[in-house]
Amino acid sequence: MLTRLLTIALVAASWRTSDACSCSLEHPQTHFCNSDFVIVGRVQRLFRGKDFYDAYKVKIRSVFKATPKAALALKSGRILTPSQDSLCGVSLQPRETYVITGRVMHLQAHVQLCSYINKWREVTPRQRKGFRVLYRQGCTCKVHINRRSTKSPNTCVAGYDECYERHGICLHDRDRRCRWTRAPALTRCLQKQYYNNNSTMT
Amino acid sequence: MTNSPVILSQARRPSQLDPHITRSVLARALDVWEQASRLTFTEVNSDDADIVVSFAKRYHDDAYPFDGRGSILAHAFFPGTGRGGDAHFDDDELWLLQPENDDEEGTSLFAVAAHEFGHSLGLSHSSVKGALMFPWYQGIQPNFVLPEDDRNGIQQMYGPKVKRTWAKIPYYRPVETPPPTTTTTTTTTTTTRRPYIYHHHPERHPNHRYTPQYPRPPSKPYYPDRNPYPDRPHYPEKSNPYPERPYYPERRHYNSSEDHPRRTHNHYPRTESTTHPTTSRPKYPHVRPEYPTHPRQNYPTDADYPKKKPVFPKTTTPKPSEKPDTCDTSYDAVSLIRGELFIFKNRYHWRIGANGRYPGYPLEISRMWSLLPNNLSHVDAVYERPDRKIAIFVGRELYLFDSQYLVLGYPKKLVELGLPESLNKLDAAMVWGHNGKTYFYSGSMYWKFDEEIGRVELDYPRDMSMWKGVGYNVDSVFQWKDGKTYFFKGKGFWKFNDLQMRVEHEKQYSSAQYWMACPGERAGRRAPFRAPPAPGSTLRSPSSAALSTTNLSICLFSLVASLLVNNIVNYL
Repeated sequence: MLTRLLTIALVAASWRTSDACSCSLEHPQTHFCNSDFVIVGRVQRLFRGKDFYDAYKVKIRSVFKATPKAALALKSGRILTPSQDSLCGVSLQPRETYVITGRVMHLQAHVQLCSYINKWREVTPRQRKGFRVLYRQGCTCKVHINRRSTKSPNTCVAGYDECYERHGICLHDRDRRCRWTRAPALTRCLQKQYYNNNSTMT
Repeated sequence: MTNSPVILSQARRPSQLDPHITRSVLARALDVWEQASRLTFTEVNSDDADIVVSFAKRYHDDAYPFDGRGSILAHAFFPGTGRGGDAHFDDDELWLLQPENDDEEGTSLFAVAAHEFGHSLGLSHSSVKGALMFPWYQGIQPNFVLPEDDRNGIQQMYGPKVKRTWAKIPYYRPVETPPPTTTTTTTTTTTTRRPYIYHHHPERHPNHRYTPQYPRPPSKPYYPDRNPYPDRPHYPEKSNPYPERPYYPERRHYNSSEDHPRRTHNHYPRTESTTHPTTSRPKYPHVRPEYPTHPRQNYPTDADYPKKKPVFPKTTTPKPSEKPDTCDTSYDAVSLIRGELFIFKNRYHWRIGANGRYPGYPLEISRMWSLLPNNLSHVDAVYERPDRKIAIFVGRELYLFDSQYLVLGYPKKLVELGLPESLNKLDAAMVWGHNGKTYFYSGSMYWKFDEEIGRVELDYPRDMSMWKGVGYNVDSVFQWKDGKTYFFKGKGFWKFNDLQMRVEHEKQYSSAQYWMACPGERAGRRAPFRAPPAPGSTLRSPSSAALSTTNLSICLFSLVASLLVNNIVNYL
C-alpha cells in the first residue's frame, strides 16, 4: 500500500518544492515579538545541505531586532531552513530582498515557513514603521488575529481582518489598554472593506 | 471496487486531550478525504500503519523540533516508507476538540488534522486562500465542506468517489464512438451541486464498468425516465427497463465522459452506449432549434449561424487508431514500477495496482514522464532498476528517470551501454528475479547488463534459445511480484520457469484476459491460468480479501524464493 502511495506521490507535481506543516496565522507584530531576530536582507544564494537543512546566504541590510545569541549567529550571514523534501522549509528567491524573522537554535539562525518572511517591497509602509520602531513597543500587548472578541485589556483582536495585518499596530493607549493605533491607511482599508461587505450583501 | 485502506494509528497520545474524543476528531478529519476520494481508511493500533499520528513537544523523533505554543502547529510527511505519511502534532498547542465559536483561544484539531492528512496523502500546500491546504490556519466553519481546490487535488491523485478520473480524459468504452452527425452540442446547463452524499454500493457493482447506466438527467425537469429514487438498486445490464425509449441525440453529451467538469458525484450512472445501437439514426429526427447540430443545407444567408464550422469532438481527440484497445492489443513494454504494473502501448500506458486496473487508463505516457521526447510514438522497453530509477528505452536511446525527473546525463545512446552500433532498438528489458541481474532482449539476442559499471557484460550477446519456448522477437519481459518472469509476444504471454529454463506452458495465454481483466470467451467457465496474485482477478473479488491473500502469497513466495536462492548457483 505504501508503494501505491509512493507512486501516487510521484505524480504529485510539486513534490520537490513543497512543505508540509501547519502554521498558526499570526500578526507581524506577534512574529516580531516572538522571534529572536528580525532582519531585512538580500538573499544571495542557496547552499543545498546534505541531510536536513539548506542554508541561504543573506546580505543583511538592517537588523531590527536581535538577541545577543542571534547577533552572533547572524554574523555568518547564513540562515538555515529545513531542506526541500522535509518540513516547514521556505524557499527564497536569490537576489530578492526579504524581511525575515526567525529563531536561533544551536547558535544557528533558523527560518521556517511559519515565521514571518515577506518580500520587502511587498511590506506596507505601516508594517515597515512597525518593524522599525512600533512593534517593539507593543510587545506587551497580545494580538489575536483569529478571534473576534476578547475581554482582556491587553489584547487587540483582528477578527480575521486583513486590514489589521497590513496596517494595524497594537499599542497601549493612555489608560494602559491595548488598542489598534489609528492610522489613515487602516481607516481607509476598513472603510473600503466595510463598503465592499455591504455591497456584496445587497 | 478499488479500496485503498490507509491505516491510522496513534503512537503517542496527546497529554491534555481526551483520547477517545481525539480519535473521533481524527477520524472525522480523515473522513473529509474519504468522502471526496476513493480512499478508505481503517484505524489500527500498530506502528506499521501508513499514517501514524503522534503528539509531541519540542524535539521528537525527527529532525524538525516543534517550537512551543504558536507558530508551528503540526507537520506531516509525504507518503513513503518508514515515517512517510506520518503526522505529528505539537502537544504544546492549545487544541480544541469541539470548537464552538471563534472566540475561544486555541486551534481546532480537526482543521489542522485534516490539513496534515492531506499532506500525508501526498497533497502539497495550496496558494488558494480558503483552501484547506492553505498553509496558514484559518479557523474552521462549523459545517465544514471540503473546498473545491482541495477536492480537485485529491481527486486528481486518487480519483473521485465514483469510479471516474478527472473530467476531460475520455475513458475506454468498448463500442466505437457514435458518428459525428449527432455531434455534441455545447450545453450550458449547470448542474447544481448536491451535498456530500454518495449512494455507492460497491457490492452491487463488482465491476463498475459494465453496469447498466442511465443518463444522468440534466437539470431540465421533464425527463420521463428520471429515477426519483437514487437509492433504488440498479438494474442489471440485460433488463433494460426502457428498451424502446426514444433516443435524443442531445443527450449523448451526458453519456460521454466529457460531461460537466465539476461534477463530483454520480447518482445516476451514465448509460453505456451498448443499450442503444448508436449507429442508428435517432427515431425522432427533429432537432431542437436552439441546438443546431448540423449546418442547415438550404438556409439563406443566416447571419446568426456561426461562420466557423462546429468543432467536432473527433478532431480534438486523438485518432482512435492510435489509442490502443484495452482488451485487444499487443504490448510494447510491461514493467513493475513501485509495485504497480505499467503496461505501455504506443503513446499510451495502463496502470494496474493492487486493486486492479486504474480507471481512466490508457493515458498518454507523457502524462507520467513529461520529459520523454514530444514526438514519442512508442517506447521499446521499460524496467525499474534496483536503485528504483526507471529506465525507458526509446529507439536508440535510454531515458533514465528518478521518479518523474530525468536523471542528469540522460538520454544516453545504446552504444554507451556497450550494445552494438547496429542495434536499432531493444525488444525488452527486465531485472530477472532469479539472480537480480538485468537482461536486455533484442531480436534473437540477449544481453546481461552490469548495473555497477553501466555496461553489458563482455561475453554477450547470446542466442535467445536459452529462454526455451519464447522464440525470437519478444515484445516485452518483466518480473511480476511473485518473482516469476513473464514473456509477452503478440496478444498473449508465457509464464517462464526460471529453474527449468523453459516456459511453463507452451500455449500462450491471453494477456488481456489475465492482466487487463477483460472478459474472455470462457470467462465464466474456468480461469485459464491460476496464480494467486492475478492482478485482474482482484477486480472481481472483494478487495479486502484479495489484499490479504496477495500479501500472504507474496510472503510465501519470498520465503520460498529466499530458500531457493541459497541453493542456486548463478550459472548464466
